[in-house]
Parts: sequence; C-alpha cells; structure tokens
Amino acid sequence: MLCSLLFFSSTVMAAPRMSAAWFGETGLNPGLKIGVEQTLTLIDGDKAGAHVGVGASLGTSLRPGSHWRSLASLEGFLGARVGGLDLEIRAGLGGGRTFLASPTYAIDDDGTLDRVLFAGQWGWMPWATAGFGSGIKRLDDVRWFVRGGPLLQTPAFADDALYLITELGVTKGFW
Amino acid sequence: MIVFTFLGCGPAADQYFLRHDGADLRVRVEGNADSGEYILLLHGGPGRDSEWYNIGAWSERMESEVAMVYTDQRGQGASHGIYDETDLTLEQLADDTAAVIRSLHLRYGEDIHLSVMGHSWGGMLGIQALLQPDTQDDVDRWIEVDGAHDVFLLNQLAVPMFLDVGEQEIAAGRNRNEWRDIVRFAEGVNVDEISAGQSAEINRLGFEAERLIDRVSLDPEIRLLDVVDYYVASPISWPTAATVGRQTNEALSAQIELTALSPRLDEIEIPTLLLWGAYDFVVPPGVGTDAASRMPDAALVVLPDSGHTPMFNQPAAFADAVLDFIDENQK
Repeated sequence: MLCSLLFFSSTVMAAPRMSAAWFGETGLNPGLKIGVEQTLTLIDGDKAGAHVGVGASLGTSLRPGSHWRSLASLEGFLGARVGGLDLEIRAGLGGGRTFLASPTYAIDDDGTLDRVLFAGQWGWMPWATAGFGSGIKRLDDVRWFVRGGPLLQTPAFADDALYLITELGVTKGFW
Repeated sequence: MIVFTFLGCGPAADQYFLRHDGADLRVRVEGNADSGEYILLLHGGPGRDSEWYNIGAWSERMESEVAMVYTDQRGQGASHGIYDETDLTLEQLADDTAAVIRSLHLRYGEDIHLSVMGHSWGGMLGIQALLQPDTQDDVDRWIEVDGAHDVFLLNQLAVPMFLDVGEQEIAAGRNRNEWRDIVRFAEGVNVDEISAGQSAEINRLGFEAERLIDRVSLDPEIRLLDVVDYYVASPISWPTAATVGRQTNEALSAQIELTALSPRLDEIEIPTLLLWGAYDFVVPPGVGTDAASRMPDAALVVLPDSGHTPMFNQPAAFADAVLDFIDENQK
C-alpha cells in the first residue's frame, strides 16, 4: 500500500529521521522516548509542506507514578507547516508492560505475606497526540517539538485506563 | 524539570500493593509509624481515591501523631489489576478491605493498634468489612465519618433537612432563590417512596445545599500547590482515576442504593466514633444519631461548622476528636 501511494502521488521520500523526547505521563511523571520515522511528503511546496509518515518508537518511565511503563509503538503522522511552525497529529498503536512501582504481596493460604515478583500487566496502548515544532537556529536539521494527547491502556483495572501524555523532544534529520 | 520533580516529593512513606482476587490494591503508609497507632482510611465515592484526602491541616496533624494508611479500593485511584466488572460488588470490596487489614498486621506486626476510618461510601464499606468473620479481631476501633451505611435512611432524613434548613435560610435572606428551588423539590418527595431518580437528585442537592451555608468553609491551609501536586505529580493518574472511578461507581450504584446496614450495626462490638458534620445534607447527622443508638460502644460527635467533609471544614476539631477517641480507647 505504501508503494501504491508512492506511484500515484507527487512525492519526495525524505531520509529517515531520529527523535528523542521527554514524556510526562499525566503531567510530570517523567519518561524517555526515542524513535525513528520516515516522512512521505505528499505536497511539495515551501509554505504548506503537508506530509504523512510512519514511525516506530520505544519509551520507558524514568520515575514512576504508581507504575513504571514500557511502551513500543508503531505510529503514523500527518503534518503541515503553517506560519513557520510545523503542526502535526499522530496516532500510534502501542503495546507494552507496566511494572508496579512498589513491592507487591499476596496473602497465601498459610496466612503469610508472600512477595509477588514483576507485578504489573501487559497491555495494548493506543495513543494520539497533536503538537507543533520548529527548527533550532544554528543546529542543522534539528527541530524541537511539543506534543500532547491521550493514551489508553487496555486491559487495565476493570476497564480501559486513560492517561494524558505530554512530550518535549527534538528530531534530527531531513524534513 | 527540577521544579516539577520537586512537586512530587513528599514525606517519607512506605508503599506496597496487595494482590487480592485479581486486584492490586495500593497501600501507602505515611506518618508516625513509631507511635504503633495506624489509621486505615477508606475513601469515599465510590470512585474517589485516597490521595484526595492527603492534603491540608488534618492530614498533617494526623500524620504527626499516628501512621495514616491511604489505600485505593478496587477499580479506583492507583489500584491496578485485571478482573471483571462483575467483581465490583460491596462484598468483594469488603473482602479486599479485610485483606488489606490483615496485610497491615503481617507487614507491620501483630501488635500494632489499628483503627479503620470510613468516610461517606467508605462508611458502608467499612461496616461491611467489619461484619466479615474475624475482621473485628484485627481492628481496635471503628471511626465512621459521615458514613453512608444506610441509603434508605439518609434519603429519608435529607428531605426534612432540606425543608428545615431551607426555611431558616430563606427567612434569614440568604440565597433565597437557590433554597426555594431545593425546598420546592423536597416538598414533592414522598419519603416513604423515594425513586432512584429522586435519590440521585437528593445526593446532588445535598452538595449544593452545603455550598449555600456560609459557616461551612474550606481549610485555608489547603494550598494551590497541593491541588496542583494532586493533578500533575501524584501517584494517581487523575484521568484514569476519573474515568475508571466513574465506571466503578456506576457498577456499584445499583447495589449501594439497595443497601441498608443499620439493622446489623449492633454487631459492631469494637469502640466506635461517629463523626459528622452538622450541615451534611448528603448523609444527614440523623444517620449518625441512629447509628449511635444501635451500636453497643459508640460515641457521636457532630462538628457545628462542617458539612460532608469535616476533615476539610474543621480540620483541627476533626483531628482532636479522632485523636482523643484513640487516647480514650487504648487497649
């Protein structure tokens, strides 16, 4: 399907670019995310470089709230340059595992408290963000960005769980 | 980033999760563990979380004297786990609470002195937990704060309270239009046949009526920073807590509406403090008066300038009442 888009569109295939971001889970429970993405420019032009692309990223909590989170995602994005800012929306299908941030115990049949190792759970983690960014002066091909949006974890608790993710990061590579 | 990280710092605490029947229940202990006195707080809701209570002068005072145990009930707060919605029953949550109580003794020693404090829905939950076999053997004292252990009774008492206080406030010229609306609603309720819709409206108007009472105010020591910390740097993910908590509330509501534990209060044999706000329209003080008449070892304290959350309305008087009760009921 990606090849079909290439054949029928006026496109410029950009080189892959790397990104790194601090992310805050529901505010200020921090994490680190690194990614690689491939941009496919649909509309050539200096002013409105609307583009789509795909990418992959890995993330992990740096300091937990009630859990540490690991997250691997495949994602797609759509963006445009408006008034000197790069505006963008992204959606990703992620999966990962949370690890409870404190020791976990269970009361066994003998009535003693036994440690439960690696407590936490696997889950699907679909997410979406909207954001903006711009180039950094004197740094060639480096752009900063700010993004934010919801992340669902399922299954979790008795039902889906909602988190809000904010990201501050940089991207290096041709855009 | 440094400032933001600082917001999340707090007093030294011990935290663990208790795995019980598919749920991982968060248990956080803060305060004076050296005292040997522990108070397990059962939060309200359902759908609330324990961190919501961990602000203001009352919690600071309590933590200086005793070890406060903040726990998030199944499907609420920062508790985790994978289970069915069918597991969200009063009986299951009471069983969870009994397990948390047992875990406190296993972790901190069989010789700790443990009081359980239930606020609002936590009052119903605490009573149900204490009615489980052998649970009262693990608990020294029960503290019920505006406890909603009898939904039929609280609805029946809220309606005349709306009328009595409403008439007084209208006569005094305070918030006349708002009180007239509340009084008009109350006049149309048959207290012997309150529908589910009317029950929900009574609950809503209960909070609204309290806001109209000038003498009920909020603890001035609750700082903006505390509120910001709760929303952006606490262990609770507030969007999760809000969405999952609401789902938990909906799952439990039908059962809660039909639950009246008053007939079984005489089975609570441990020393009991019933602590109420005089202007609690959500769970009127009459529920506390009724409970005191049924329980074999209970004392009722009504705080005159408080509503449904007396720990935030009169934090000093609230803490005094609780700590005096503990001192007077040492084993």
